[in-house]
Amino acid sequence: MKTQVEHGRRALWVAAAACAVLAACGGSEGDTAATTKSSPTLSTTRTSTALTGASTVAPTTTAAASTEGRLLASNCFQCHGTNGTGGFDSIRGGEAEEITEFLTKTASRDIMAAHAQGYTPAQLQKIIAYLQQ
Amino acid sequence: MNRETHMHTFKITSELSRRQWFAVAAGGLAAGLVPLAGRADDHRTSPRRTSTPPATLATTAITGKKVVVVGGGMAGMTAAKYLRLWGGKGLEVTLVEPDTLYTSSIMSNLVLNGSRTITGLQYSRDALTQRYGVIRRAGSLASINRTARTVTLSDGSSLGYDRLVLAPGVSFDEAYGLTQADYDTRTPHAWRGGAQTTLLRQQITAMQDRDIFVMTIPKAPYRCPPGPYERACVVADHLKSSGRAGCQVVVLDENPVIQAERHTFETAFSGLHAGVIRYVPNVSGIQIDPVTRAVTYVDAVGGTQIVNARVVNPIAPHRATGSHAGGWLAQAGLNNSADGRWAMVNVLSYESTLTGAEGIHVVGDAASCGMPKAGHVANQEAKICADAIVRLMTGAQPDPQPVANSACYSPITARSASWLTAVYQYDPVDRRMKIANSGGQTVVNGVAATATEAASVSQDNFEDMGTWFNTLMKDTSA
Repeated sequence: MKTQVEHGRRALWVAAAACAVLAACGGSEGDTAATTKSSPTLSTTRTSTALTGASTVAPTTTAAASTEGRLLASNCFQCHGTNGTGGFDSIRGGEAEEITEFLTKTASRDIMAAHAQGYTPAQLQKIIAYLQQ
Repeated sequence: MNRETHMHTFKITSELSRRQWFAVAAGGLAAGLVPLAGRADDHRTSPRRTSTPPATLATTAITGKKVVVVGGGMAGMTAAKYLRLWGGKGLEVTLVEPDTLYTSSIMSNLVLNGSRTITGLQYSRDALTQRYGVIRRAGSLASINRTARTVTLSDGSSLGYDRLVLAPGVSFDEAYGLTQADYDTRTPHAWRGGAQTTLLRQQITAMQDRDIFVMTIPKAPYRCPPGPYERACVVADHLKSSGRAGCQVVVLDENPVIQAERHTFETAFSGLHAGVIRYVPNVSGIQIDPVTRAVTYVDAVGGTQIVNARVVNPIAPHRATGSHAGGWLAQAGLNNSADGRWAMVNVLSYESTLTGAEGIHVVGDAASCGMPKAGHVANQEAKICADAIVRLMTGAQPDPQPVANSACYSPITARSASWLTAVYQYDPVDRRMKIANSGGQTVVNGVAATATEAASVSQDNFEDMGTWFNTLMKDTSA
């Protein structure tokens, strides 16, 4: 279990870099584009969404999207839109990592800091991994 | 038609319109947004697009299962949407609700100062049908047959279910010597957005110099813990800023202390709104004359006091809808809290703890789960419930460690606001949801974690409030 987490963390940095490029190109097509480009680096922990994934993902994945972290990540949706695509800002793809920046801020001066600090580190990693699918 | 092929197209158009909608919302249209059908994501430029393109539902192994959701408020709408989104097309979801439109209670305090209107707080549920395929039935629940797994509606028709999600919200006691007619026509509680809110607005508008506004706050738990204190601030600010002289807002609280955002409201009561708001905690024995508007109460040291008010706003004690003697929730035995007012639930799934009520879930303000009764929380409770139902229907168990969250903004004046937020972690010992901070810890240095309130009141918070509200409503209803 621990090994998987460590692996996931390393992979997230790679994914974050890939997604940052997509975002800079206006590529927050969100799940569709990000999934296509970044899923190979995280193939042990994630699969693609069923309908978009059919033509884009590694052959070992199943047709179903990974639901790991989905319920946790849904805590973000009230303020960042269903599936994290809007509201205050998009948190999909590379932007998902930004939550860790709030861990060192003062909770009472930043509602996002107060929020981020309510999750365990492992939960935050699951949320990030889900949003980077 | 090849559905699989076309779904891919729908997926992309859906994402586009969603992003464009948010671009508009974030661009400052938030405050004036009238969120009915024909909203800003209604793009008609392409003949291939409908106003609300179908969402991409998950592919699961669920087939031929039925869930009936009763109540189309914050919890019920969210449950219906996410059951379809996560459960897929093999999970038939029927939403039972008598009202055509949902009227938000969130933001309704801003109707009182004229910043918003009730019409502007009304939401269509059409997107639940058009985007997610939720079946809607106009009606109210009459009874539940737990054995047959059917519900009977007010029109006598029946619906069968594999799982039943009850999101009935709250009803209000005829407290303090007042009847329902008094609340509707003379002394509105206005604690559910609607006609009473508009009536209270009219009564405030008619206030003159030196008139007194009295509001009462019931013992917790009640809906929206910061809401009454927020209302006191909004009304006080309005009375001052509209040029009325010497008006007072008297807050009679049955609780011993301010129930949420204590620092924010104590500061506002003793600072910004000093001389207007008079906060009286530990009040009991409230009696209200609906004609003379004389309010009698017993203070903390046992003295009887009388206030002659111009406007009386008694927030009556509430209970789960249907939990009164003879009500449908009570007849089914689901109001199994010690006081018979709330439904006790397993917070891993929101399934009732009542023996023999397997398959019946209760979400939102009607449930007792350790979290505040509030729309943002109800939204997350509904997601936990929907996720659990989907897992159970695919042979898995509910998430053993669910997390929920609460966020809300409270206006302190017509242009400034504070905020309050908390993350709730599951406590496997007490089997309740508990506030966590400092890295998800429910106890920090031997002390239970508490919610975080804003360090300061600001205009930025007020603007963020619009974004929060619009996004929350969209995540809930569209």
